[in-house]
Amino acid sequence: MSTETKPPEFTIIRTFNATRDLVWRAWTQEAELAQWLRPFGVTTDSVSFDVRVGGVYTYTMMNAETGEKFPTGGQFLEVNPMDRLVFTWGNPEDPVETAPVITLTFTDKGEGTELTFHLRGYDGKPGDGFVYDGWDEALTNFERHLLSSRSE
Amino acid sequence: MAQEDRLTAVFAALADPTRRAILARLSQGPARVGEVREPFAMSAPAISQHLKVLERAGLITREVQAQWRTLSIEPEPLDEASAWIAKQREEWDLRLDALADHLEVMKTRPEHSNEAKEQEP
Repeated sequence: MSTETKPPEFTIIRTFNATRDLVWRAWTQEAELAQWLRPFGVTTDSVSFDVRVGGVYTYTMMNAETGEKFPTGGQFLEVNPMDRLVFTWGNPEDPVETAPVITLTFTDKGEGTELTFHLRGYDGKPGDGFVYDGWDEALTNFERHLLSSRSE
Repeated sequence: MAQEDRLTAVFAALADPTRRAILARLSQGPARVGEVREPFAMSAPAISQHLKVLERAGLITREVQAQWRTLSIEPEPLDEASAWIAKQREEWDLRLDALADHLEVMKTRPEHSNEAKEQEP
């Protein structure tokens, strides 16, 4: 059991040496996505993106060594060109409500573009505010609990 | 995939504020159903529904001690959920490296404007 339990979300902030238009296109055009979406040892062999609110996307990754296929897909929840893109991300057959959600925010940074990539383990419900507040608290208490029960 | 299904159940269970509050309560130590129910203006069946969801996700266990039913938090699915997140973070870090490389390629195209689209099959 790890003591470093983290909430089920994370943010990566990256600055790219490219215009917002270019970064947006890299995220939304199938031909571009197919070029970089593949992780190492896995090839993207099919990409279909319908970039509009409610539109769906799918792509299939394949592990070249094992032949194992990983169909991935989801639905676009928010599409603000060159500004913000929100979509669910998971198994295409899973219900949208329980799928992890990725939020991309694009901002100008000098000549380049700052991308804020945020992933959380599940979709929040409207009005729930920061859905992780409760989770954070649970984990903090839980860690404390673990530490105190260990030191007994 | 069984592990994926389990994670989906865990994330779905965590998606509700009442259930997270119940977990927060149990993270302080085991408690009886009545104690868990106390802070909520909710009927016993409603709370019982939430407990079932948490139980199915493997996040809590029930135990009958004497006449009491005691609830305890189970850390393993939470650890699994955290491990999954850590793995995603690593993978996306690498993907964003690949994106940075690909943007360099896009920039070298003679027309990196909208014409690029029309060249695609």
